[in-house]
Amino acid sequence: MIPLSEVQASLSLFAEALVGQPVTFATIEDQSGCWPWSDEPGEGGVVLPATLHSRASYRTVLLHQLLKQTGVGDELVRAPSSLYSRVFDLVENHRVTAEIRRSFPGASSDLGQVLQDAVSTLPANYTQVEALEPVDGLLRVLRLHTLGALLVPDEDQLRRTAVQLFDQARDTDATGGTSERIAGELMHLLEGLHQGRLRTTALPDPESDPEGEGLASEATTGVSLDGGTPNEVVDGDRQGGGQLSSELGEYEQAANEIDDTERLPSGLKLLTVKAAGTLPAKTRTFVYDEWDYHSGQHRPAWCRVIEERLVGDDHEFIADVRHRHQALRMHIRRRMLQLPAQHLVRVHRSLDGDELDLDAAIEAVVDRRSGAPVDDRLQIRRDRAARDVATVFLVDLSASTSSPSVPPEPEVFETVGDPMDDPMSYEPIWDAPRTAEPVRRVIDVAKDAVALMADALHELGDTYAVYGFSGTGRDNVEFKIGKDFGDRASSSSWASIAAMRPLRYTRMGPAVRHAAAKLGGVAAQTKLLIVVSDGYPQDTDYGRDRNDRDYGMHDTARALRDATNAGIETFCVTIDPAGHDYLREMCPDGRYLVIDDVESLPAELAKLYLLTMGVE
Amino acid sequence: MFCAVDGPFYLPLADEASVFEAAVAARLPVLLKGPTGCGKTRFVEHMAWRLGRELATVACHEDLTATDLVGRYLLSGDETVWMDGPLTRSVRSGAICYLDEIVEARKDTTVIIHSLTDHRRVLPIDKTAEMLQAHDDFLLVISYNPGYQSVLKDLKPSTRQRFVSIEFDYPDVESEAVIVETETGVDHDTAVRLARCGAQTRNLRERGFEDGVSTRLLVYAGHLMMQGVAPRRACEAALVQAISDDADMQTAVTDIVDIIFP
Repeated sequence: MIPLSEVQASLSLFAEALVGQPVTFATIEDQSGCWPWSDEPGEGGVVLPATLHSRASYRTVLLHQLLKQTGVGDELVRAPSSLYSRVFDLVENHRVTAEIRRSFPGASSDLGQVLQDAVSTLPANYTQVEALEPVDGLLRVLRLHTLGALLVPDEDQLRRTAVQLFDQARDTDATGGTSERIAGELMHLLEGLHQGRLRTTALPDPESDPEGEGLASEATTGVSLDGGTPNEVVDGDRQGGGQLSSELGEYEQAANEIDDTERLPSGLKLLTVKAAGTLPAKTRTFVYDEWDYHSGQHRPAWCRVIEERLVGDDHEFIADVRHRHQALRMHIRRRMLQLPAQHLVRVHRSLDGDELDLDAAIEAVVDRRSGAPVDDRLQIRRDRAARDVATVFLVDLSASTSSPSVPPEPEVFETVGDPMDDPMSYEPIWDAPRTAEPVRRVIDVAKDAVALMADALHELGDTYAVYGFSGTGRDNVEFKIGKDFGDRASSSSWASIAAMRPLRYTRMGPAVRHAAAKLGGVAAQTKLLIVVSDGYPQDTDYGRDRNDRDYGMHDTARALRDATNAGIETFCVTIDPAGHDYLREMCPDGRYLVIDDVESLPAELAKLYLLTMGVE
Repeated sequence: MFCAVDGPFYLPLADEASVFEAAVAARLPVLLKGPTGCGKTRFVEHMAWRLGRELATVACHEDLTATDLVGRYLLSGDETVWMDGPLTRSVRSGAICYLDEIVEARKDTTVIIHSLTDHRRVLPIDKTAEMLQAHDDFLLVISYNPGYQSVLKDLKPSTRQRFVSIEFDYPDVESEAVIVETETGVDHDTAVRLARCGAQTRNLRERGFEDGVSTRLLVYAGHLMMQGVAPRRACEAALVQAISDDADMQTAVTDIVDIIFP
């Protein structure tokens, strides 16, 4: 069995390629919750089982759901509990199954395998439709027909008629609108069946069932109206002939009111159901010294840094960041153009070049006249010296970065008199509306800022890496890789940056040392380390006690100074208003920036980078 | 549909041919914008054939200088001899000079074409102290790919605004199938499937490869099939491996190929 998490990233891209928009999936533990193992119409959205036999099965089930019309037409279709919606769903499944066979021949055999798997999970008596009530039996016949698990005998006229009608969904030009029409005609057929105007070979004798007891009795037998499995729990509104009559009547009324021109055009529908998927990640461990400010010496091999690659599934992240910061992005692009131009170097005595090298030419003439061998490298070439900058963005992932980026305004409620006199006066508080929009956190703004810079550097062709850090204690300094040097900027790397989230404490010193070590391994003329944080260095055992601010500050200062001595330009950016108090001491040569407004971090980070690179 | 009998095949997708002809008649330089492999170069070749003009194509690269375009002195015996570059030759003879991916070249190349692209239509050659007046039939055509360029290689507005711009994009599935079929000789069904592969994978343009699968790559895949390579293998070699090194991306594109080809 293959877990969804193993194939989720590539399936997400596959789905986006098919429909032209990002698609995310909801996961269900049991495959019986989705087509073709279930005959329940879904609530909408792409839902995939947590495990399946093969990647091809995932691909087929996903393709089926993407091609399927959802939410087409009137309210009856949208209501998942209505009989019409179930009939429509059956027809749609039939149409899409045929469409896959027709338009995606490569998926046809996989589809056959998936249907075979589904059939093998059916109860032994599932195909005994004769034992069911007429409506129930007919719907099950249709489902089994799609699964390829039942042949309807020629003498069974009604079911043959229904199947022929049903098969119109397999026409080459069938669309979601076709499914609506067929579902409507099937509803008429069901109504006739229910009212006794039509009969199947298994229709109970009306004389023995004058009140429609057969339909009503399903409430006690637990058989669903749409051919569902006998052991399913059925909803109350799906039980009983009265309910069926009501739904059929409702359908009649609604069908008359539907204006064809208002129906949605055929096409693919998309959904965005978020599901967090994490892949098993590999970790690497590194040990670093720590500077003990109190004893004035290093503690050898004191901290263990655990490096782990982040894996994310938010493939919309970078597109979303680009969209939200469109103006700033353009501004950064323009300013990047002002980065120091790539200078040209004149290379004399070249075989090819822009101009003659006069000295070489004169020597060549002299050599020729004297009979000496002639050097034919007579040109001057101008070579471009490439930009050679490597940058690391090291992002603080401490728990405090989960704070709202904009502190919420305190709510004020007007009260009349003493609220203790009237308990109902508390009502406004209980009924206060919840915020609909998700609150943007500090980490969200930091990710935006880093992603914008990374995007700009990618366009510029610079080398860069994005790391995050946090941890609990000296044995567990967490170092997360969003994008490493050497990683291509791809959907996976952007999703990894998006996967950065608030974790635990802020043990900054070892994280700086590890980032500097990684930067040190990159061959670049200019190396830059930018630390983005929201508070002073702090951990459970970062000093004599948890309130020992000096220890962490001095350890980090030492790490930054060591990095500087190793030829790395360092810079700290913080949104901590009290940042001046410790950054002044911590950062060499005052290379820090305190930002008052968290939301301005993206713009300020860009400004800082450009200033560091010499663009005013 | 226009199908050349003897010249390079080009399937017009809109009014690009008539706009180009109008620009030629008015002696206006032309800028072709579009993603890689969508048919810009083929279009110029086709139009040159259609207009009966000589075509000089220069594939620009980052080491291409103004000297390479204009010309240089070479040594011949004890003397220096001036040798025209492709641009100068075109200006003298009245050919179409096509600078493909102009922004890849060094900045000095874009400066020298400025005086050729306005009312003056002259090419200054400083090494020979010459102001070369362009032949009446001379036409400058440049191309670039907006999605592909980095900020350091973007076309400056001062250059861009000297040209009549014609925008290109990948054809729709039907048209692309006709192109693939005509270029490679594969049957129509196969051509449609290839075109569908192209169209679907281009939905991933924002996911790491801005250009998507080009028509050129689809044609390559068709050629491989005509040489006997199985369709899925041909697509893997010509499409999947060509567009990305990202494993997830390759798997997704392979999935697309696998469901479309039996």
